Amino acid sequence: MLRTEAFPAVILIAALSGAGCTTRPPPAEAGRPFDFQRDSLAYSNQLYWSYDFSDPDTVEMRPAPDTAPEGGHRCATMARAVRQFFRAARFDPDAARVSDEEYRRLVRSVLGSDPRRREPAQPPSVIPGYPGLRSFSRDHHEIIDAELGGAVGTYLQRGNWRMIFPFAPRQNRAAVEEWLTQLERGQLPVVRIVNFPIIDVNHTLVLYAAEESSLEVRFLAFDPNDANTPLALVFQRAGASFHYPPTSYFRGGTVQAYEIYDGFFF
Amino acid sequence: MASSSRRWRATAALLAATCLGCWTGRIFEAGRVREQVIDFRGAALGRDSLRLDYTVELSGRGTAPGRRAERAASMSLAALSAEPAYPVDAFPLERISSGSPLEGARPIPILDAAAVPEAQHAALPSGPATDPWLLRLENSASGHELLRLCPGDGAACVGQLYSAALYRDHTAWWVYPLLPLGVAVDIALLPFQFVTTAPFFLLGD
Repeated sequence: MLRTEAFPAVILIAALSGAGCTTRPPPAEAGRPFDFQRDSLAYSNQLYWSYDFSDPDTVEMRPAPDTAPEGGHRCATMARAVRQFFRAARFDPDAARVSDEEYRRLVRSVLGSDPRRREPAQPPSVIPGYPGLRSFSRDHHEIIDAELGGAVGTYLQRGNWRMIFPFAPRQNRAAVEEWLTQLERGQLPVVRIVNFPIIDVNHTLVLYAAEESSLEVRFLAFDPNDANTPLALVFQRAGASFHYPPTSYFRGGTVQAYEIYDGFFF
Repeated sequence: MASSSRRWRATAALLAATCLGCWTGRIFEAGRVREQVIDFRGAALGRDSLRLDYTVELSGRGTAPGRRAERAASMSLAALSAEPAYPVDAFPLERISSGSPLEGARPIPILDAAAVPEAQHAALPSGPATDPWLLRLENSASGHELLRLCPGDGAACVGQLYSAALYRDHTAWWVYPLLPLGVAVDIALLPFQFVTTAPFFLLGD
């Protein structure tokens, strides 16, 4: 035990170093890190609405002018695709590019893999001519879209049932620990954020990194609605609550979060 | 009989349409009471521990606005100075009775850094008798309230505690008698939920 008199001498140096962010060391079996500029999709899920949050109490929604009928409501399938390409594909930038038909076959193979498996596929599908999903999806947006299917994959995602039920603080804490463990192993949790039954957000993210501090855990996320900007889903430890920043489609604030494409029921 | 059955179904459908979500969960959420520190009333330093007396504001959907309560907690000095710092939701502290004394502890002052300029800290009286320690209350770089244990002579502080570490929540007692009712309603309305949640997917993005 520390005596009060000896207290400063014993702990001064340790205390002066502060309480900054910490990062857990990766375990031995960790996979390669996710690179947002290489491993994410280059295009965004289209929005059916444009939102005006200037009034603090109400949101004004107008139909977005340029959205194709089949262009939106695909956040879940797009998030799933990012995870599947990361897990089940290997890009070979030095190999010669192949025909669209061959690329279609490869995309179908990747997206046909089990989205609930977390470990890298062995052997992965090798996609020639590109360094990563981002550059590939920039050139072959239509192929990926066609193989992803429409909004039905989001509507009927089997984990949707979970949003009806409550989220206890201890469940949130357990989920955060689970996601941190997955990220340490190079796996990508796919997370649904909702405020059910309030219809202000119902969205899906791919978590790819985390920063921990005493007060919070910041999960960096690929947001299918904004393919160009990594966003942070923040877990505040004190209240065991999740917060998502303002975006073009969400005012920002508290959300509930849970993992999907995870096990038989999700 | 048939008319009664129709009325029941209509009522259930109306409830489901207007009250989406799990009723059991709603009851739990309404009964969740959150405690956030709004004021520190006193501190006492023992041989190897610190005692804090503070006031919390209680909040929650089923809690009357503005309710307050007095709380006290003790924690080891080693925990205050741990490196890396404990996560606030895992900080090792013991909640103690607000009126109970901490053996061998002597009161130390709590200094609000926002109210006293930095240059005046060293000149402040540092507590009863000649206690060389004080608690500095300040805002961290991230804007969170932070208590720092510092020598009274202005030297570097040696321990810290985010007030968020004193946050607590619990479930109000009246939730539990209502649970059977909530579960019964949920069982009755669950089939409707799957229909009435459709707008949740179709509206918005």
